[in-house]
Amino acid sequence: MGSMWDIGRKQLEDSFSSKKFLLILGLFLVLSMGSVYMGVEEYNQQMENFEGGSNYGPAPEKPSLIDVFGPLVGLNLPLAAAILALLLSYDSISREREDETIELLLSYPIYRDEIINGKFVAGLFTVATALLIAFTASSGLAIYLTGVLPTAEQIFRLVFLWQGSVIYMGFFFGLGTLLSVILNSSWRALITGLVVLLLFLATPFLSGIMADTIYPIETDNPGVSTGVSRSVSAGGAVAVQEVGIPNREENKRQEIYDKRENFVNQVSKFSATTSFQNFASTMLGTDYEGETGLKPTVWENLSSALGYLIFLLSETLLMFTGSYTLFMRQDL
Amino acid sequence: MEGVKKSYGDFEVLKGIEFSVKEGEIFGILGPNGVGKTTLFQTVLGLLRQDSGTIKIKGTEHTQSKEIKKKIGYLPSDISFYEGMTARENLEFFTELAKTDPDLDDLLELVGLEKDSDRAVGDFSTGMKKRLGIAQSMIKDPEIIIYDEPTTGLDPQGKKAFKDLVKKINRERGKTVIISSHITTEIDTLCDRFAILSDGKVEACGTRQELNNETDTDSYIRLKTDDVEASEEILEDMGLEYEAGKKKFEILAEDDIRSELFDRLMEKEIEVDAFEMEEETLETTYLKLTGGGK
Repeated sequence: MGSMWDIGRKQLEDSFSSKKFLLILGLFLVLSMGSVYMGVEEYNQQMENFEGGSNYGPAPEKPSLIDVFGPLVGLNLPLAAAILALLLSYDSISREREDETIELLLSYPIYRDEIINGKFVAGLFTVATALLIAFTASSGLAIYLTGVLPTAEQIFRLVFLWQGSVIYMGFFFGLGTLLSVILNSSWRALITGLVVLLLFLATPFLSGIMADTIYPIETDNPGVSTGVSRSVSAGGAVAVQEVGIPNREENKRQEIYDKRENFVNQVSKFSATTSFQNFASTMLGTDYEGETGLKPTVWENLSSALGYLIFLLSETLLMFTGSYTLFMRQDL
Repeated sequence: MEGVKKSYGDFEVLKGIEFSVKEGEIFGILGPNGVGKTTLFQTVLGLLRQDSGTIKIKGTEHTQSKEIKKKIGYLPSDISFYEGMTARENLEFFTELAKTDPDLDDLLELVGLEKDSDRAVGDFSTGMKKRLGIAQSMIKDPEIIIYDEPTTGLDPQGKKAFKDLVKKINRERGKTVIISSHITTEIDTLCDRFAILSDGKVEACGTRQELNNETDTDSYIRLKTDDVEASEEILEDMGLEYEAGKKKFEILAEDDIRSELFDRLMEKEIEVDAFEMEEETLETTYLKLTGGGK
């Protein structure tokens, strides 16, 4: 524990004294607050609509303060937070090798796992802190701009969102560390990490294209197909009439659409970014289709989002376990 | 070390290394580049695990434990520090890892870096990094210090300063020192005993004289005196082969006859201006053993 703490503390000192980290963290904060500002603009617009009422159609719904975090968790966090996590980890092990400090480090009374565990713990602490600063600053800005204080339920939602975001950033920190262990070059590790992030971001789109190819719709006439109807009169005469058969073809098409959707959903599960976006949108309570029309409670949302969170957590643990195992097996 | 073997895949680097180091001595490991000197040290430190064989430190078998690492100070061949940190900060970090409480001012003074202790290591020259490396190797107050190719990259002044420092550490602080090099002249005057590595094995081990004997390498004593006739009488009386020059003798010495010869010269009250063993014999022995002297 002692040496692990020494390694972790040095990692923290390196991170928080690094101009690179502070610059990216600053940018991340600006983007976070900018996202919330956009969310507030939307919130104000919805509030105006709500207060003005509607002359036709259903009455506009009263916006919730939590809605202002939509752009933050929908766009900024999946991209910027992942980049920040990669920047914190892409050279965590490879830099020690490149600078040839690993040999000296290991000549001290320290076990190998204390090095990688120290770096993991420090990395998770750093991403959790960065996110806490971003969430706190964004919440402060949202309260200041709207003049509305969050309810206890909204605070719970934000806390769960923060926790999910830490796990999401933890995944990319783990990915960066894994690449840093596998690859000999820090830059190759960073570029590979960014490519993986781009693939994750594009997964729904790419899996959609794949689904279209795997499950094509072959008919040229998208409308109604024809068939033959036969009827026999009381005198025994047979009347033959060409009629349309819309249901059979539509069912077939629907079946293909369902298969496509299922395929996209299954493939997207492997994208940590998609898992996080699904988790975040569920926790914000913006994606709901209830028979009652009532918004689900935070606990109902958490229950729905738990699957995404568990998948994300499993992927994160897989990254850490992979990094640990490979590092322990490697020679210097 | 007994029968230590280590392979990288199919390539066998160490093919059964055997030697021992006496407490308090400076032990030199000589061998060409790529012979496995660094692999040997990394195995001793537990950074690599040997395929077979045993390594005992003060009678305790090597088990890659923290206890073993506490006993050994190490200066890798390409010493690198955290360049953004100062010399003192680097030493402080390693002190925390070592869980010791050395007097860092004393260590920095020992290596002559007390005035540069608050400078970033990134600004240091190779010689300064080596000196900081020596201070680092003392942090654990170890019983044994290993220097892997320590003189690489140093200028002549740096090499001399390094040798003086190692002697000081050995004599004044009582440390057992193990040094490797592929250049005999860089450590031959520094070490008490040597092991010569070739093709993954120890070809020979012992003092310079023992190595010379093992390879039938002749040693020479250079004698410089004004009393040429009296000196010649003594040499002939002792039955020694020699070549005489103007006030100089180069005497073939198959055994170490230095003290006997010197005593005889003193008995006759011959004034000796210079009296030294031939310095190149280790190089010759080394080349013979590693196949470079054919």
